[in-house]
Amino acid sequence: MTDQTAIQSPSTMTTTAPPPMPSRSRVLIRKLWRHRSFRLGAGIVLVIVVLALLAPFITDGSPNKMSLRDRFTPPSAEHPFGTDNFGRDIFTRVLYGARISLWIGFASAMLAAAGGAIVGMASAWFRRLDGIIMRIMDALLAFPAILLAIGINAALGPQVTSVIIALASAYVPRMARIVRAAALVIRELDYVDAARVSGAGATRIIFRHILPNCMAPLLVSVTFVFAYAILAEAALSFLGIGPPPPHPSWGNIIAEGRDYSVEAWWIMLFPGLAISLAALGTNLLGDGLRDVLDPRLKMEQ
Amino acid sequence: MKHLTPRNLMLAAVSAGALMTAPFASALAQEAKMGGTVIYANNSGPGQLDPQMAASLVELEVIQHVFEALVAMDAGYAAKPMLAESWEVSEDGKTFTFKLRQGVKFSDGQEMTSADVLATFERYAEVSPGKATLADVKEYRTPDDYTFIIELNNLNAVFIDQLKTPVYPFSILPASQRDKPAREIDVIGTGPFKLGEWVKDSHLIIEKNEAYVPREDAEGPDGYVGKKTVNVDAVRYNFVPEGNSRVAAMQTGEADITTALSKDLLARLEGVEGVTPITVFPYCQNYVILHSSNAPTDKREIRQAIRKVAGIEDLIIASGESARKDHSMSYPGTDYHTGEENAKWYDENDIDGAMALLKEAGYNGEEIVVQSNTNYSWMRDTMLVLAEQMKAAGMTVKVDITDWTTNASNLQSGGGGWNVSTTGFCSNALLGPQQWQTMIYNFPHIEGNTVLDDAYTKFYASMDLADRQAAWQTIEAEVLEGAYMIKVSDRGSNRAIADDLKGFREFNMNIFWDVWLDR
Amino acid sequence: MTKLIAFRIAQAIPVMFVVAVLTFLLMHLLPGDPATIIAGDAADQESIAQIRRDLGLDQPVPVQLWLWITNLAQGDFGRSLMLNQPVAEAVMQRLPVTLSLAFVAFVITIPVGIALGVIAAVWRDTWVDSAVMILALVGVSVPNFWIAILSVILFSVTLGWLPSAGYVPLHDSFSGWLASLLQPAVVLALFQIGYLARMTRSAMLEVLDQDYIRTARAKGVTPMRTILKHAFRNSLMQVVTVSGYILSLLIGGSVVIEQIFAMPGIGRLLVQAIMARDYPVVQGTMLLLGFAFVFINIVIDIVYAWVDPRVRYD
Repeated sequence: MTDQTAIQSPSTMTTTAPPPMPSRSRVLIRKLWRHRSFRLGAGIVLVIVVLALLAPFITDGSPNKMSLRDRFTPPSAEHPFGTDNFGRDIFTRVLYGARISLWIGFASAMLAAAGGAIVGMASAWFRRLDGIIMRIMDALLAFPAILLAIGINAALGPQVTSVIIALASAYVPRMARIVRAAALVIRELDYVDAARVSGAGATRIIFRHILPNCMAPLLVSVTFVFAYAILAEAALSFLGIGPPPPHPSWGNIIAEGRDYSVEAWWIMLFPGLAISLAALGTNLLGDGLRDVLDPRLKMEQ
Repeated sequence: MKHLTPRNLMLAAVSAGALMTAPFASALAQEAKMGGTVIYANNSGPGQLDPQMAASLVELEVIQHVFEALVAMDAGYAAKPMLAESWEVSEDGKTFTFKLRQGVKFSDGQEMTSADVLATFERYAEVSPGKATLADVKEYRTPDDYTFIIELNNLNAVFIDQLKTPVYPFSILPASQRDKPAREIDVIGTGPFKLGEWVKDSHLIIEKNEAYVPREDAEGPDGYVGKKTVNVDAVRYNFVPEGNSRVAAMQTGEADITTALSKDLLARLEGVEGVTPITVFPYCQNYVILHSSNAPTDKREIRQAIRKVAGIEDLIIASGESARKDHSMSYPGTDYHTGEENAKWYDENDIDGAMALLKEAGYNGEEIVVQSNTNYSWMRDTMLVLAEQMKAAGMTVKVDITDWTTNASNLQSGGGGWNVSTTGFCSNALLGPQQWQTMIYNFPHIEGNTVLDDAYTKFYASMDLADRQAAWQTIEAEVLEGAYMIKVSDRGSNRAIADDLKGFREFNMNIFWDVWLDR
Repeated sequence: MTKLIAFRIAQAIPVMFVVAVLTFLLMHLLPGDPATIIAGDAADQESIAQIRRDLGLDQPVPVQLWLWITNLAQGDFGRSLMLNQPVAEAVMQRLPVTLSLAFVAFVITIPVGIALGVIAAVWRDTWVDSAVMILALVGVSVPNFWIAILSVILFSVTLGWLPSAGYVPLHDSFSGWLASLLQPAVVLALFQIGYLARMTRSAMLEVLDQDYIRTARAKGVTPMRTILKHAFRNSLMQVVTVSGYILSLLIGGSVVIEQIFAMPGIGRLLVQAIMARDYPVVQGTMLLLGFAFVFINIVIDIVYAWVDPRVRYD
């Protein structure tokens, strides 16, 4: 905890020399960097994120620009990934689709983490609520995430936000379990006891001590939920309840291309590869994070 | 965005025609083999089989095999007697006397009499969404077992045509079903098939009805009428929602016939050995619907502006369906097909004209909501292209893609804040003006349009076809000119048939009497 | 043990109740009127209103909820609006399909997943390990419906080895049943195989990395085979723990797979019911599924207690 106290007292930071020991985060970063699959995963994710952000500079067209004259053009120099039934450029759509799919993955993972953290903390801290909360979580956990997402998404209507809320709610129980387990262990540690004895309030203890220490398992599961969410978005779109067209989410591009899967294989192929690659990168990244941050953490998400 | 579709379409039509005549003509010459089960890969299955409640194609396709009506459509979609031996209309056009065929048996062995017919009509007037047809009935009379008389209060020149409807058909049920609630009848009819095993969402089997009594006064089958002969033991409808899977089932020989294929999926079966892809016309007509009671499309000029920007060829290409261009709300070659005088509101492609109209209407960038659904890709894709065309003329467009249930409810109720949507009409165009009436008023939410009201009054009161045709021309002109609906196309039905399924006849729905399996 | 089961069931009931009410309210929030769909395009407003009355949809939502719950208390799940059959019957007709699919996928997943995981652990840090783990990663990263469509094109259309769609009931023909399930089950299992292989590998390594085993191995006291056996047994325990989760993943995944392979299962029923606003079916299916999963979890607890004598429920 040395570096944390240092950050909290900037005056000492400026006056004293850097500590001789490398900080914990720096060690972690170095460890991560040495981890092969983390490097690979981070690399893949970074490339996809950069491509998504720079989409307007990479291609000049809009993802929804139609040109019926050029429908079903196979991959070529002009259209690297070919065109679809509207003559829309698949490459452009996949690039812009990355924005939507990554945003859905990111936002639902974050929302699930936040929800899971709140529920898990509440469960770990207020022992009397624990039984009820965890039973509800168990019940929700019993439902396949995709079914929950289908139900919630259907009720909220076809919007990107609905997809995010639906996927996030589906993964909250898993997050809550992880946070609760971590929090319960930390809660019993000596220094938390000490803090409690010295009169620190619950909020302070939760935010100062318990939450930071749940970060590792939480972060690891965020990456996995991110990967699941990208896959789940695609499945929802395939069932016709994803983000509404003409949004070029990867799932939508595949869903719209399924009638042409043989004749215009490129419509389905490239977004499918993009999904696989994004999920692969995130999974690799998550593997690395898990190995380094939390070697004991089971793969049970 | 000009395109070369007409040539493509014509080629498709010609090749389908050529393919059609060759194998089927020779098939007729061969002796029909008996037995076997036809496997039909259909896109979905019926939820219920009460004819008086049936409006969906998948329901009707089964119902037409199991049930029969007094009057039904022949191969040319005209009214012909089926369970009726014949009918007579009184001088004043108010009394209809049906002579029933004797010895017709329900599949449970009971003979059909006028009591069954009466019960059917009485139940229809209570439960069916199509009961408006019977609203003007003064009384029914059954002087004997084989005579059924309907007397109307007012002249209705097209009453017989209304009775031939394939939607909410007037199929004769046994009298025992008289008081069964809607959608809860026992499936017992006089048709050439009877219902066999039915596992909802999976498959449905119709079996040869051994008790069937065919019409002996006809040469052979004729649409839903004529002499029907069942050669196969059974037909199995497999419900396969994925188009890819239906095509695969034809390629692998798992299915003998399939339907509801997009143009591109049909093309996949081109050249596949043992399979003939076909496109059946007439099938449905596609329209853009404009909400005339919702701003800003409550303004006639704004609706007309949308009609002017609609580039039909692009809309057809985008729909991914096999379609023909035609301006009329009836099919070419039929009684109510209108000539050039009604064609000027079709496929205008006139962006300048549209902009002028918008200016005239004082359009100032008000949002126009284009609604469609994800369940029917042709609707969705048509609307996405139309939205682009509207934007090109400077309209502010919001695309709202929901699911079909929401979309359909909104079309029906007028709620949900939409201005522009699309759908296909399948029986209306086939059956003529009387069948159009509800739809014309319903979806565009037309209120207080005296041009339409007067023309329809004239239509029903005219015994002479020429007068009815004139009335219909006025109606159609008002709908198209006022841009309550924009005609898009005559859409064909893409199907594929195994070459060893012989004796198949193209019709609005797939018919399995008189077909046989050559194996 | 009986006490435990009774307790777990008693715990589950109020939660299921909450789930049921939530599902009900969520469904009724949806725009779209099932009566419109039942009536068909050509119906007028009056006929639609009549259908709504017949189905009790004209009642206020709280009244409908109350009616549903009181019927539920008598074991009546209601009647499907679209299918025109009792919900319980509809679910029971489709349950064998989904269970068959999940079962075959499960039977494929468990041995293949464990075998891959063990192989990777035994040949850890060799090319074998890398190859297996890359495969496993691909398994958890590739969308299964995408693979399903590609698979149909390859195995059914091009090669003609397997049926492209449909389901053959077990009592019709065993070989037909298996043939109809093989392709969808394998596609469905891919994700779980990847997941299980990754988990088994890390569980094995966890044991192999423990200090006393390292020491034992270094000294050559305990033969490698014994160590592996120990690690294997340990990882089996983990498999039991996650098998409920795997089963739940399989049933969730079957929603999409059933759609592509035209299998009349629970997933398809549910998706169609949501699309058509078939309220009783959605509510009933969710509720029955909930019970099914609670039941599965209880069974797993029992199996767990049986496999691992250290765990005792009192």
